Amino acid sequence: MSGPMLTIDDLHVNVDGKPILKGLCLEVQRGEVHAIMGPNGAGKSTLCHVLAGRDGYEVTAGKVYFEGEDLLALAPEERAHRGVFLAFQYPVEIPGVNNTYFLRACANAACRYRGESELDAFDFMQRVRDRVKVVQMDEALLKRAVNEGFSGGEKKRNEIFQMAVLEPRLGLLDETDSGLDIDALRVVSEGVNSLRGAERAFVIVTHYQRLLEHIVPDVVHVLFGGRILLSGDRNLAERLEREGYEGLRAEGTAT
Amino acid sequence: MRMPLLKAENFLAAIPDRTAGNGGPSRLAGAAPVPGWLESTRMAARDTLGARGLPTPREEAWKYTNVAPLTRVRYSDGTRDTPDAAALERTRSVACSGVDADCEIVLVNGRYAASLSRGQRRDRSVVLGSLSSELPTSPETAPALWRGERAPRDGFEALNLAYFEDGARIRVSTAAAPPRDPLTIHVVHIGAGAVPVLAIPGNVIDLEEGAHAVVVESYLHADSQPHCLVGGTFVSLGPGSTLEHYILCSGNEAGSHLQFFDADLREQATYRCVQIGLGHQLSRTHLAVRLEEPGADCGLYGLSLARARQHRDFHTSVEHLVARCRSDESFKAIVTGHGRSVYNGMVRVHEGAEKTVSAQTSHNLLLSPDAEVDTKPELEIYADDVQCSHGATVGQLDAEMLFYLRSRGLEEDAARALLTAAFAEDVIERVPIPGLRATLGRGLGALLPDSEAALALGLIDESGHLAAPAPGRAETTRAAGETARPEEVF
Repeated sequence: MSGPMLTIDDLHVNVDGKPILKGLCLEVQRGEVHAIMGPNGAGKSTLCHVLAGRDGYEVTAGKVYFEGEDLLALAPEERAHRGVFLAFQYPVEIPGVNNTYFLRACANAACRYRGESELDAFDFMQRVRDRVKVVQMDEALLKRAVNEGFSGGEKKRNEIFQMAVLEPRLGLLDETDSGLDIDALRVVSEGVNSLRGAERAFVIVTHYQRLLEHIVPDVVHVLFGGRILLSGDRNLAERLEREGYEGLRAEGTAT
Repeated sequence: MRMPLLKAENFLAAIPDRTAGNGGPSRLAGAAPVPGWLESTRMAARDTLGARGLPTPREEAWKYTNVAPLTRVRYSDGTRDTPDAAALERTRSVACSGVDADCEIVLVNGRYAASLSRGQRRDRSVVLGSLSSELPTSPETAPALWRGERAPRDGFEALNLAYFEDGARIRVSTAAAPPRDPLTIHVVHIGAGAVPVLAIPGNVIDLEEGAHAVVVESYLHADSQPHCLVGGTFVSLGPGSTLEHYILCSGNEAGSHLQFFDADLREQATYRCVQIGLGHQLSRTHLAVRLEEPGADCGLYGLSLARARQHRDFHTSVEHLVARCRSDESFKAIVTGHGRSVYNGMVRVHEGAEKTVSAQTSHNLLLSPDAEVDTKPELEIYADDVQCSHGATVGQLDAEMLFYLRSRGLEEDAARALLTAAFAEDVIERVPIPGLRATLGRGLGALLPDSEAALALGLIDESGHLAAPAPGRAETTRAAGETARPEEVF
């Protein structure tokens, strides 16, 4: 398919009547990894949630196209079926719902959407066994309720594990590095790297350059005041680390 | 001002030759005689019923449950016409499917039905069958209510005491079954008839010292008449005995079920009771447990499902009478449509009941704007050095959880179904009997906005059975020894 995988055009979003995104533009091609950095309150998480379809975000202007389709017109599950996956900053605990059972139900829902036959339990378990190794997650967690009683690090691994099982086309990672120690950060990053491919893209939201040492982005964007202030290659992230957001602000405004 | 009585006339009309004022001695099924000590409390109960009438919302314990509509039905006692045998057999078969009991005691309209029962035994170690032929012989071994030691709490208890003529009788001693293999006894109460029938069973379950048994009580109907059951079950647990008691109310949509359970526990006795209320237009149970000697331990659990205009009411009372007893209670309700669920649980720690450990929770899920829950956990403590807790919640499905599930690709209705089933999960886990789980699954399926979604999700199977996402649930494998074994993960 020609054209970008994801096109965000002049997106304006209000939360509780207050403008958060104010004309955000972004294009992501298949196979690319984009990092979005920015200070607190810049709108990073809002962008992720709007793309995933969470309630409570009012789009006042702008368009989002995913593979040529109007993404904002779709229900959250329809976005998931088309291949959008959000790794949550704060994964939700769901008591009473078995982790593996849940994933299989999700995988089968996507199969039904695509008109494919559902995954055989055996094949599905092979995939689970395979992917759980990628994030070095304790297999015991598969038998537990979704995220219930998981540590912060376990929850983040579980997000990447779910992504590995569901094989999305666009992975949105909302501050996946927050709350991870150095070793866990490396494992989670390797998990993401193993999923990189020509047909899959990632948008990685982070505060820190540290994650980007492990997951090397193709493009780095600075989100500031609800807009992309600057875009560049990976060196932009290193500059940010040195100069801070305020240091780049003047430059961004000038361009 | 004197409040008008809610008269039990229509209830009493069902039993014309035994009405108050008739004066003659009461009778049991099969014309078995009533011993004098019981006859005197029965006569007193008739007077109580006449004076008090049936309970109204003015009585605190009946504040949220109005039985006035029941008194407008004209009931029969079910003896005038013989219920359809095929329908009875079908109903028995539905109730017993997947229960796999050692024996089944079937009662039709409150009376023992020998032709439908099986596995009845009567030897030194175990007595099973009809109450009327195995009435406790002396007041010492009879329930406190029968020997006049406690008064009926309300008109229905008085009605049951005054007019029961049969019921299920279970007595188990240690010799009946080794502790590792408890005897499973299924008591099936079927309401049946071409006209509404009033059933008044009295059930007596005695476990002697060290005995262990599983008793399942199923209450259901063979047809769609607005049958009514006013029941009493008396449980007496000897020292060191264990009873696992499962009570399933899955009657028709017009029927009503009013029942009290008295359970008295001796030293080191263990009582586990799980009540599931998913059928009947109206059901109300009062489970009263007395922890009479040290080390007694009770766990009371319940799940009520109410939809349309169904009404469920779980009352419990636990009396910690002596030191070092434990009680644990957890009741859950899922209510949709115009359904209503009531929970009232009293835990009373009496003077001298030191080292009591007690916990009580009531969690309620509202699935529609017109659903209603009234919950009241109560705790009274008259002893020092006790650990007691109680709490209640009422809420809707969690929006964060719903979004999380949908963001992973579950359709909205399926996500709702999954969270609804997950809410009930810990109660379902307490029911190890496949047949009861299946009935529960069908009941849950009926609450869901879109059973198609639940079906597609694999939450319920084609027959409406809940495929609960339970840990340890077995999945089919291709062959032993292959590398991935799904059942290890579920």
